[in-house]
Parts: sequence; structure tokens; C-alpha cells
Amino acid sequence: MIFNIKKLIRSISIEIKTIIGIILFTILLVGLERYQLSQNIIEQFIESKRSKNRLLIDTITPIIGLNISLGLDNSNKEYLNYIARQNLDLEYIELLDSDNKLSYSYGEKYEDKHHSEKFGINFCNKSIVDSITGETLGNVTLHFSDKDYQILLSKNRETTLKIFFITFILLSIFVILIKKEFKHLKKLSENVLAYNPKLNNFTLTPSQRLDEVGVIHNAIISMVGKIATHTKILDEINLSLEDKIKKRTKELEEANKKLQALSVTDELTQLSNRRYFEEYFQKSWELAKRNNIEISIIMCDIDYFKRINDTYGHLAGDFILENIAQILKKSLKRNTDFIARYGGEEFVIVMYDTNIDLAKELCIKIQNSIKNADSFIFQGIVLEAVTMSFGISSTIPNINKNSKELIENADLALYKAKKNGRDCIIVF
Amino acid sequence: MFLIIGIILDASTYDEDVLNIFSKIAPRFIIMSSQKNKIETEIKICVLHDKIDERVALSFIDKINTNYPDGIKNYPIKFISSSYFNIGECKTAQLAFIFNSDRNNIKEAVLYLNRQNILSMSYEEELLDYGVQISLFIGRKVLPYINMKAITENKIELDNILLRVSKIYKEHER
Repeated sequence: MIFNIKKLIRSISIEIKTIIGIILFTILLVGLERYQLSQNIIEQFIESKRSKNRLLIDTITPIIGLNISLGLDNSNKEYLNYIARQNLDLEYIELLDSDNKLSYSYGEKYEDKHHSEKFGINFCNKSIVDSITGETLGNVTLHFSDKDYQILLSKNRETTLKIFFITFILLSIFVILIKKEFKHLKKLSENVLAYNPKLNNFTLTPSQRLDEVGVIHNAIISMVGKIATHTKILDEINLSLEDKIKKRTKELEEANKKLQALSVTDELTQLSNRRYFEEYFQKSWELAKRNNIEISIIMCDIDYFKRINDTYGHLAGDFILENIAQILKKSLKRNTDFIARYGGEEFVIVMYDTNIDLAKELCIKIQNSIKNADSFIFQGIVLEAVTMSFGISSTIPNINKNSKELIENADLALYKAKKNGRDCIIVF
Repeated sequence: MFLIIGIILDASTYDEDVLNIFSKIAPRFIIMSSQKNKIETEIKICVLHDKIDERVALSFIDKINTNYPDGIKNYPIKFISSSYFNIGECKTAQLAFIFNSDRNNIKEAVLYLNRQNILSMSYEEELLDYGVQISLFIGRKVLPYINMKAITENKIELDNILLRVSKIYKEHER
């Protein structure tokens, strides 16, 4: 409950809070002040009226008493008539003798009115005592009109209404002024909310006002100016950063490509390496199996390569490997033909959709290319002629066949070619 | 018959009611004036009259005794009934009540009473013209009639309230 009230209060705007606060405060203050003042005025009036009535009865009773004690009853009547004429608020005078018999009365007695005495201002009663003998001579009762009291109350109400009316007018002016002030602040906040540093759409100009609103206004304009400057600098930095990121991304992509290539390429021969061969061959195998197409594997090996290494050194061996690799690469014409360095001086060729005859035809073509190639000259030394042995294996893959068998069969055919004196082609 | 005899004997007539009022007023004027300071143990009222008014004077004394049987303010009231020729008897009185007499007697009495600082009260209001201090105004209403000049000349002070219920005598006003 308290939380909800707090939430509600927080959700009310400062403008409304200020207006409500000032109105409540003012009404409370004016109301309290007015109430207190009215009470004081009424109390003072009642007290003065009581004093006046008491003074009157205190003044007349000794005279009445003396007149009674002197036996001058006629004097009393004249005296009380005179008192009644002098005091216009006296409505009724009653003089009772010591036996409680009415000896004089003035005016009309309204029982109801005078029995309901209001604040002791309508009714006064006093025993008449002989000041000499102390004997009770009678009783005098004065009844006063409360007209002046009613007039006071009416005027007091009228004054209260006037004060509240003036307060209402002043509060209305105050509310208008407050709303005008907050209108400026609202406009300012709307501009701040709509402000987009990229569009630089803050349209307010500096204020000439010297009050707090003017200070806030100009402070916001100054802040907006700083934001615009910093945004421009940030934009420039961002642009520069974007360029750098693009450049770096490109470099990274290139590096990744190189790394990718390096991971699947044999560094010396620039052919695919054995790992990539395994991957490629497996894909080709699966594809051929799905399409029921024949696939051929050629395993080839440089003859007497160890002797070349031993005779001319490993660098010469590497030179031979590089040149043979180029010849092998050039011999493949179809996009689907694939060659990789299988290991050492051994190479492997995958031929998709190729039967054994076409594979053999490629082997012969390679043999001729090597034979027809210029002599390999390494560091000014003409190296001996190089030959290669070939083992071919071909099959149409199916569910009962193993891809490894095709490689093993080609390898076995190569082994037979080596056994048969090298520089030959054996079909498994 | 009595009236004829009275006129023949130069006697005055006195109203019983008026005398009754005087009987009520007289002791009070002593108590409510500076004359009360002269009271030692008793209030003394001197009643001055001619021989012919002796009975009326006694009647007046009776009225006072009737109105104040126990005296006033615990003081018993003593009366000195005296003729104008024996006015010296009034020397210790605080108030002298003057019945009608020859104007010369009145003048003499007033002089004596003033000299002795005795409050003077007369049945006839016209005696105020001769310097008597208090009488009764009998008009539409009955009021004590005070010769303020005579009172102040004799340095007698009256209670304020007495003045308020009284009519103040002014020379040549009557």
C-alpha cells in the first residue's frame, strides 16, 4: 500500500506536485490563520460584551438597591427606563423584590430565547443587596439582544469569504505563472528528448533570462554544443576504426585462406597433402557410390629416388620432386581429377568417373611427359633421367566395398610395378 | 379642625409618607458620608423643631426606630429632640433634621450646624435656599435633593452612589 502510494507520488510531475503543495499549504495557512483570528475576534467580542453587561449590572444594582432601601421605588422605575433607553441592546429588564414579586419590567420576555443563553452574553442576573445592612432586597435580570453578535458572525463570514476569494485569485495567478515557467522547462525537455547528436537537431537558442530556468536552458545548450563536438570527434574515430577493421578483416581472411591452403597443401610440391587427399577421396567415393559411377586411383612413385638423394643430395631430391609434381599437375585436364603428394616420393591421383583404361592412358601420358621433359639441371649439374612406376586400381563403389581397399589395391599394383623392374604401369 | 388649629398656631403640615422616606434616608446619609467618621459608639440624630411640631418630631423618631430597630451597621441610633432655642444640644450629632420654623431660626440653625460640621436635612425643600444641605425633591418622582454647594463648603463628602440617586440642588432653579 505504502509502496503504491510512493510509486504514485513519484509518478506525479513536479509541476503538479508544486501546484498541489502550494495550494494545500496556502489554504491550510490561510484557513488556520483565519480560524484563529475569527476565534480571537469572537472571543474578544464575547468578553467585551460580558464585561459591558457585567459593568452595567454592577453599576445599576447599587443604585437600585439604594433606591429600594430609601423607599424610592418610582426612582428605580425611571432609572431603569433611562438605562433601557441608553442601552439599545437591552431587550428585557426584570426587577423582583425580596419576596420574588415582580416590581418592574421592561420589554418583552421571550422565554425560549433567554433560557438558551449564548456564551453568557444574552443574560445577566444579580441579587440586589443593601450595602449598608447586607440585606437582600431583590433581584435584577437583564436580557440583551444578540443582534450585534450575529452581525459580527455575519461580517466575519463575509471577511473569510473575501479572504478565500482573494487567495483563490492569487493562487490562480500563481498556478498560471508556474505553468508558464514549467512550459518553458517542458519545451526544453522535449527538445532534449528529441535531440539526436547525429542529426544535430537542437533548435533552441540561448536564453536572455537570468533566473534558474535561464541558467538551466543555457547550461543545456552548452551541453548540447559539447555533445555535438564530441559526437563529431567520435564519428571521425569510428570511421577510422571501421576502415581499420575492414583492412584487418581482409588481412585476416587472407591469412585464414593461406592457413587453410597450408593445412591442405604440401609445402614442397604445392600439391594437396595426404590429409586433404583422404578427405577428398572419401567424398569422391561417397559420390561415386551414390551415383554408381566408377572411380580410379593411381599410385605413382619416383624410381630410385633414394639414389638421387644419396648421389646429389636432398636439395636435388627436393628439386626433382618439385619438377615431377609440376609435370603431374599439368597432365591432369579435368576439374574432377585430383593429385596429392602421398608421402616421400609417392603421389596419388583420384580420377572420378574414370575406368581403368582411361587411368592407364593418363599414366602413359605422364610417363611420356617425364621422358620428353628437359633434363633436370640442379645447381649447374645435369641430373640423371627420372622414371616413375604406376599402380592402378579401379572400381564402382557399393555398400559392400571399402574405400581403403581401392587405395591398398593401387598400392599393391605399384609394389608389383617396382618388382617388375620399375618404369612400368601395373593394373590391379 | 386640626388644620384650622394648626394654621392658627402657625404649625406646618407634614406628609406621613414623605416623613417615612426621610426616616429611611437620614441614617443612611450619615453612613454614606464622611459623617460616619464622627461616629464613636452610636449614631446621633438631632431633630430640630418648634414646640408645636414636637409630636411630629417624635413620630419621625418612631419611624426611624421602626425602619432601623437594630440601628444601622451595628450602630445604635440615638435621637436628640431639640427646639431651635436649645440647638446647642445637637453639638455631638452627625445629622440634624430640621422641621419648619421661623426663617430666622432656620438661618441661625444652619449657621450653627455648619459651624459644628453637622449634616443638615430639612423637610421643606425651600430651606435649601437657606443653606440646608439635604432635602427631598418631590415631583414626578421623589429624590434626595442635595445642596452640593452647602455640602462642599462644609467639607462634607458624600458617597458617590448617593449622588447618583439624588437630584442636585441649584440656586434659583426651583
